[in-house]
Amino acid sequence: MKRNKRKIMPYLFISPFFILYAIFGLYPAVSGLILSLQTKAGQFTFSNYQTVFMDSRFWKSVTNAAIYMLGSIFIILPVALIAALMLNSKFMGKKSGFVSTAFFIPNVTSVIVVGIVFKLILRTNNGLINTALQDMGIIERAVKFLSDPVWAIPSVLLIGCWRYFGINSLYFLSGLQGIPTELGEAARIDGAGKWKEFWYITLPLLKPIMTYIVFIAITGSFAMFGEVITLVQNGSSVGSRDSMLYPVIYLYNMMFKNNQVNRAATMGYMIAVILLVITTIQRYLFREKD
Amino acid sequence: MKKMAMFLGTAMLMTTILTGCGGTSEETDNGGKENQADTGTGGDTETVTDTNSDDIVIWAFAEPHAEYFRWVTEEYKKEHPDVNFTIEIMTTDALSERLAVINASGGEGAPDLVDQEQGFFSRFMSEEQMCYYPLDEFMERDDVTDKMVKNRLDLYAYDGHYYGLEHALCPVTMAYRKDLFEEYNIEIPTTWEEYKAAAEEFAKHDIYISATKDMSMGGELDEIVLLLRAAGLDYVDENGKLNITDEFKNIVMDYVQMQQNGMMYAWETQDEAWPVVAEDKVATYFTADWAAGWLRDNVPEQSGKWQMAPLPKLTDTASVVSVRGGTGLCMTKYTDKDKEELWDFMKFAQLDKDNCVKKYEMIALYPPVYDAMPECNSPVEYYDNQNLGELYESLADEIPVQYQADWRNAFTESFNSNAYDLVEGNISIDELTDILTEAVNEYNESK
Repeated sequence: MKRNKRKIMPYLFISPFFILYAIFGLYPAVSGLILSLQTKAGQFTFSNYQTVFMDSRFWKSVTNAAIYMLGSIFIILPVALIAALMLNSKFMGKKSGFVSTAFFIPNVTSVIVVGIVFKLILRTNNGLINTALQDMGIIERAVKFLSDPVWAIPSVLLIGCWRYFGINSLYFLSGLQGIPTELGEAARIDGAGKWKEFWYITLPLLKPIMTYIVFIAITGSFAMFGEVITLVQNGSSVGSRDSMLYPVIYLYNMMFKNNQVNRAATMGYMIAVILLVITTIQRYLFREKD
Repeated sequence: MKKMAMFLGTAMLMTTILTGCGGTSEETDNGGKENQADTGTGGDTETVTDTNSDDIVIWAFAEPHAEYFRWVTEEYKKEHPDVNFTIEIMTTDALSERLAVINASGGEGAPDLVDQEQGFFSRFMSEEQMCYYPLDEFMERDDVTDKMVKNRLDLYAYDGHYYGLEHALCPVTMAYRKDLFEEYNIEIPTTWEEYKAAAEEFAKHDIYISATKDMSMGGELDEIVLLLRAAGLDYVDENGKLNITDEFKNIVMDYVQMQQNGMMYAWETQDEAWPVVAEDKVATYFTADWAAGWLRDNVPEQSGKWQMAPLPKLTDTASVVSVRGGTGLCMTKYTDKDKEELWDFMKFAQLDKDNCVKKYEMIALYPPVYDAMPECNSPVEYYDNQNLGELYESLADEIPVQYQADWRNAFTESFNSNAYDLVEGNISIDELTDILTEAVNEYNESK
């Protein structure tokens, strides 16, 4: 009897998580899969996948997310890394704590507030950027950041850069602080310069944290929602030429504006598969080599 | 013993967690005390009131409407002390989304009455999505169509049935700066051609004829459509089909050209417009009754300078008034309450003359109920003591019908997405109409 209790007890302790996961994770996931394989009348079908696969707007949203993802990886993350290197330098000294806190503030600011403020910064009439550029004589005609499809993704990237570079720089900082200083000292004794030390020692040792940060950047790009909704979506707008259409926004509109539950569920699974492929490639590229 | 205590502790913890995850208990009875809760949809805060299962639950999306319901339910309770109400407020999006989810899950948790914004009503216009109960039987019995402006009832009609009782007349007329028109000796426009001529005249004096959303972002399609609607040329026809006319194409291009030629101020965020209005740079403003107060709120210093006139006519046969917006009180088909009792309250709230007048006094919604109209006609100080109510009453029977279609959102989304290319000259208006037609067809095929 006692032995049985001992066997059961550990499972009881871990059961709350699994029960909650089953209710709020597994059940919706399975339910979504079933919905994606049904017609509205509840008959089994693969046609939803075919429809989404052939839907040019879905692929437009994926393309937008992919471009934003590349922007995140090649613009936001390098900026964050540079900031982290500065924070980690001796020059910053005790000020690094204050600066880190300042960097973190955008991340805890409500996305709605961020969207509204950036709308004021980016708008054509009396927008901060346009006014500054016109006053400096750099441009004559105001740039339509919010409606010109060419500027749509850069505008969202600007917000992403401001909002996420702080938290990413703190991730990098934690990675940098975990690198033993002896390695750098040994390299310098061997004649390595600052750049070689960074390239051959710091960067490879940041790989584990970078794997995580890039993963977050990829999933975040495909889950883009709040910033864009606040920035351009007014009722039924997703930007000129669908330039602000992101996969999750399209899924949301499909479900709640067009009442296409089955198609929305299918999109959810398609997005999951796309993310799975991208993150698998990412894991392969970031794999530890001997 | 220790293990038993731990086991019990774990069980209690689980129970607490799972209880915390559950919805609001229907058996709670705390006298209707209000809590603030995050909806998780759209990030807005909604007011949730703990519900007693016997209460009539009303969902509203705007505080002014909820304010009226709070008052009118108290009045109703004076005559029916055994009836209790719970009023829940949420954002327009949240309301529609929650209803859609409730509908998809078989009606569990549905309210009894819903204050349905007309723009979102089309989302429920299909056999499977319709979550409202048809009111035809009650309306016929109580001669509602004789008491209320019929075109305002048609807004909530689907498949030959009526589903809602409108709150407001929502007449759209033209507010204009009387002083500016007099100063520059320009006639008040009565036709669209005269309106465009006035715009050209005002432009010579650096004054915009109006301030509207930038057409490259899609513009104010609703404003364009209200002029078309007054001419009976809405892009949704009486059968709910797409109807893109030459007048549609022409007026869209007029808006584009007026903005490009500096005759119409183009804003991206509406708050940009008010400083321009405040600088005496805007001469007209097409506005529904419910938005007429926005001028007073945003440019109070211009009190007495604005007047209201009928709309410029787009065609010879067009009406001089249009319609924009609206909210209907609807009964859900999932309600477990006595439908006669619910209808009795709906009549009390929406058709009773005194309550309609009180609603106008409280939240400035001009009633669509004929016998309440004369009681609401009084001079409005901001509009130079013009009697706006009298104007609205005189135009009541000319108010055009606003047809609903579930594809309206697909149309608007496509229009907004392609407007930039139209403004930049990358596509023609004919190409745009082809794109719009394709978007609507695609939506209809995917249903």
